[in-house]
Amino acid sequence: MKTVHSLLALWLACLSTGQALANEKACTSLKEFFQKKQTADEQLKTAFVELEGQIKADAKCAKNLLGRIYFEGVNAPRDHERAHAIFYDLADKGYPPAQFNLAFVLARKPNVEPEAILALLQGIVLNYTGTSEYGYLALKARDLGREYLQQASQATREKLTAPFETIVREATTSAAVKIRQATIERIQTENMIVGILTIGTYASMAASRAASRASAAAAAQTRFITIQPRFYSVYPAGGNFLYMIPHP
Amino acid sequence: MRRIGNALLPLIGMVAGGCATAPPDELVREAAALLTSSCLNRLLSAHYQRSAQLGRVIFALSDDGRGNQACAYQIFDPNVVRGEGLLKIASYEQLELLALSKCEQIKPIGAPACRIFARDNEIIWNRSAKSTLD
Repeated sequence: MKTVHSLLALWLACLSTGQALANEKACTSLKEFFQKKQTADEQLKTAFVELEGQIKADAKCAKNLLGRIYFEGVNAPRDHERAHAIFYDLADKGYPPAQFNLAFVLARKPNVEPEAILALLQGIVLNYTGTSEYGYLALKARDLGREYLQQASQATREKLTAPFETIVREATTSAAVKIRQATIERIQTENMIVGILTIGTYASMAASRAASRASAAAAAQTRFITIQPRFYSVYPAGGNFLYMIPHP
Repeated sequence: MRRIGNALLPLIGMVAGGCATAPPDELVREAAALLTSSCLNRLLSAHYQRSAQLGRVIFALSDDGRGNQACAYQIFDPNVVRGEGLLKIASYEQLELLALSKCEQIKPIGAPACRIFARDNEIIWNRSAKSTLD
């Protein structure tokens, strides 16, 4: 009975992973579609219907894309406040691309404390530098931070550049050490597998990797700090108002 | 005829080998305008060029604008960095982190942060792409 249960759990896990991958793929193609100004109304309508379906299925990538659509205002009326609220909501739930997008939006808003923007970017740099899934975001956050500091006032630049660069340097060095270490471990593992062909070693490594990934995700959740959008309360996420599809 | 062919073989090999590691003229021109001689020599070295022409090498640079530069590069070496998948090819992001970390270690204290100068034989030093939403 126990075996049947575990097989069922495994099957369900495979099914949900497959579903997540399919959602991610569909989201990527929608992302490419919405990047350009679309002139065919029918196609645009179909794409929005698809996006709505994904949002209803709680796909964070689709929600993030909706925020982007509102911010860019290319295929829908521009609504920076709503985009800000969407990114804030997703970032608060620990979705890394939205954390970056939130920093991006804040960096373009007047009267936002530079410390808040840089704290957000530093968090991204610290958490994701060298990670396989979101390593690119850390690099984007580093570049955005430098870009932001370059355009900031001289006083801000003098005050915040050195601490920001120190964090970037530390994150880079520690990621480089981890990359080298991971390579050494992989070589050792491969040698071991070739030598002994034990499945047990591999399984325990996978388990420890999963555990470290889980703890990194937990750390990312707890370290998230930023300022709430001013009009956040007018977009209650519960009533699905925040993620309302635009009607261009 | 055969003797001539045999005599020419090593020569052909040398020329072909030389061609394979010779840096493109455009790169030499552009890099010479930006790099000090020691960094330029590194970028144009046979070791770097071999890797650049095969793909997967990153060159990092710290430049204070007063002629003081520190530089380092990271080639794709499966004994140093391995990527995911069957071929274990490292990503540019991984190589970038390793090159930057090397450069940071050798640059003098107080020198500006290291940034990516070139990816393979493409100089991206002054080509600052504006940040975009993800």
